[in-house]
Amino acid sequence: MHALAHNRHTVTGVSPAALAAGLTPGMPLAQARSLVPDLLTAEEDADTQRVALTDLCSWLIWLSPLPAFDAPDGLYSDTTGCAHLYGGETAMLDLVRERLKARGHSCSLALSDTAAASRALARSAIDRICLVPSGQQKEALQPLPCSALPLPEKTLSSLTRLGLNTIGALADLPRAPLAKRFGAELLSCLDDALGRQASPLSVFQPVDRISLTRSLVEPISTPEAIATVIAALVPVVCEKLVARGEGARQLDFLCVRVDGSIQAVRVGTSDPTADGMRLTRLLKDQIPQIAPEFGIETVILTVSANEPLEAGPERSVLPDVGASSEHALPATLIDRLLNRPGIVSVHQLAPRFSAWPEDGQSRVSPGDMAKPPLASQMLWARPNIVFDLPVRVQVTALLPDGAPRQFVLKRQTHRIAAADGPERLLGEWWQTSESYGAIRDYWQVETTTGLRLWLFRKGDEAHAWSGSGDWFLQGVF
Amino acid sequence: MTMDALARLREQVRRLERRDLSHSHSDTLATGHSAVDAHLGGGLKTGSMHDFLISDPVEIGASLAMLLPILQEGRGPVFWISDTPAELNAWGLHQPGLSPETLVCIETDPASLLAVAEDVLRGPERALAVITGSHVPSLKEIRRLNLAVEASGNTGFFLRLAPLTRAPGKDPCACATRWRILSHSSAPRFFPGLAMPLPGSRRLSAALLRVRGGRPAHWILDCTDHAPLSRSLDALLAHRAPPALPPGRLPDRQAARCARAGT
Repeated sequence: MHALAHNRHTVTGVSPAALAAGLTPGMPLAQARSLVPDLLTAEEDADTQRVALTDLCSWLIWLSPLPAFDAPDGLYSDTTGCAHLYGGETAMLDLVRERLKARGHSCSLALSDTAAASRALARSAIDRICLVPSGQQKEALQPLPCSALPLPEKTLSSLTRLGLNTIGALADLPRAPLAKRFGAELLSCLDDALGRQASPLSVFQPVDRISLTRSLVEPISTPEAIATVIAALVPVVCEKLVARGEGARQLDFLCVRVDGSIQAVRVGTSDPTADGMRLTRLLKDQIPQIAPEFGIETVILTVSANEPLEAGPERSVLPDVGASSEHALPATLIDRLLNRPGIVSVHQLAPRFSAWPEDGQSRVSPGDMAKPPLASQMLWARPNIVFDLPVRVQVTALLPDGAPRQFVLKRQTHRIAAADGPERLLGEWWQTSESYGAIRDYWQVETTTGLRLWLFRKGDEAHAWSGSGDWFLQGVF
Repeated sequence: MTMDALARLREQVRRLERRDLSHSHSDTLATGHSAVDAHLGGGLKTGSMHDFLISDPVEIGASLAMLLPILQEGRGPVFWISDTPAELNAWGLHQPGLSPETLVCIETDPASLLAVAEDVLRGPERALAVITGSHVPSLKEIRRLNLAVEASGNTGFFLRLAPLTRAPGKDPCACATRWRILSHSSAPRFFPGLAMPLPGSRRLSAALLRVRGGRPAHWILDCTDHAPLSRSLDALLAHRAPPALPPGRLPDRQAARCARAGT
């Protein structure tokens, strides 16, 4: 890892192998390359590092609820009162190291009374565990170089020039001349490390769910009362969502009854929304699903899935605008339908290319339609109604060119007045063995009463392998 | 944005006021058959329910031939509500012009079919709903749907099975129109060399059984393809491209055109 500093590239991080080869952070990149000619380097990417550190920080929450950043490559965790959960401090540090190793990080850990002392100890060694007993951080810090403290480069170099190489030497000096020469910053650093003064950590708060809990004064059981509670909760949730710039995709409404059991209702939306009216209506539609019995004493409204809201402030208050949305599916209506009890399925039909017409379309969820294949490329007319299971018909007369003359459907004879065909379809021989060589000859026929039907014959009459020669009714034009 | 939204708001206000005003304006959906449109004063009224009776399951094609152009005329997505899986075919629907993107199929319990339909029709969103199924709606149920569509301006269509012998369609009807559309034999096109003539353009026998404030009527309608080719030209060319001729055999102008197209 290297970065540009003072117009030259400097090594900022090294792998254990590189460390063994004699490379150290702070070395110019050219020197490192001359030491190890086949050095593999990457330029530092601050954004990626920050994202990775945030990930690691939110992961560290398992250890204690108070993790904090030490940018760019360190993490604090306030483990006060947590150690006994992992069987003592030593066991806890071992566990942290083990888990970090499992994630692929090499780390050095230090645990002491103050955050600053731990930081100095951890940064003075690589891949080591350092546990300082309570009240002994001064002894532990004494042999460390001053560079372990978070001091500016200028201060460090002048300290080196004065021969103050270790923290112990610095701590022994009288305070007033130090403050006069280097400013208050050095002293406050020193005081933090030695535990004379405590500076707060800025604790990292991971993004969590929006969840509202309301304990009700009196248990409620009527639909009107539940509706009132929903109407009171939803605007608060929407406010929080808007503040985060997010929209809800799924809401859970939990009602805790007086007997302790929970009635849960879940609604989903087809696009992220922070629209109070819409969410209220969705939830109110679910009220009949809630059985309050002796009454509900607590309600919890949780946004269990949220996504960034796409449109910004230019979203209009007026109902949907523009001619382009004329044929667009109304998301609010689709949501209501999808969440409505009594509905088996809501879907759209997406045409797809396949050999047999009964496989010619797939059901997709609304609004999920990819750009449909060009249906106008279909040369032959297709019926509006297609039966998934073709109906067997009895064809009793055939013309020389194979056209049917009359057929029997449900014990009723239909005579054919006109026919167009045959359109020969071949089975998808690459899919299954039974459609290998299978042939269907499709005819559009019109009966003497004007019915327009789609008949087909399995096989080409000449070869047994192409089909049985039976006739079927597949569709209605 | 403002002009469109304002027009929409005005329309909403007009719709709200319509309950008091008898001379209110309402749109019509043209059927595409001039005789029918003239009889109905422009076509089927929006903001009302229309009833299509199907006498036999295989006769549904005739009703669809009438209904699909109307649905295409209407603005907004089409909701196909049924209590059995719809047997619609996306390839077929595309050919009369109903895009599969605007069609949403809803399958419901038999008990909540009309409740779902009301939900679709009442909402502030634009929608056309086709309610299929064998359920015979009672007058009360239809009036309830009528209130919903009057308030919203959406249009609903019943497409229900009513065999001619059992339900002649004379029972009272709260819908704006009631139709029974049967297929009628067309004029076949004879070609030399074919044992069987090709079917001619589709013919429907459309009976307007009931219409609110009008006379029943009966027509024989020809559903003509207005385009001279039944399918788009590029489809025909894509499938039946003429065999490539050697360049020397082409006349000069055609060769030049080919060269330009090739570059």
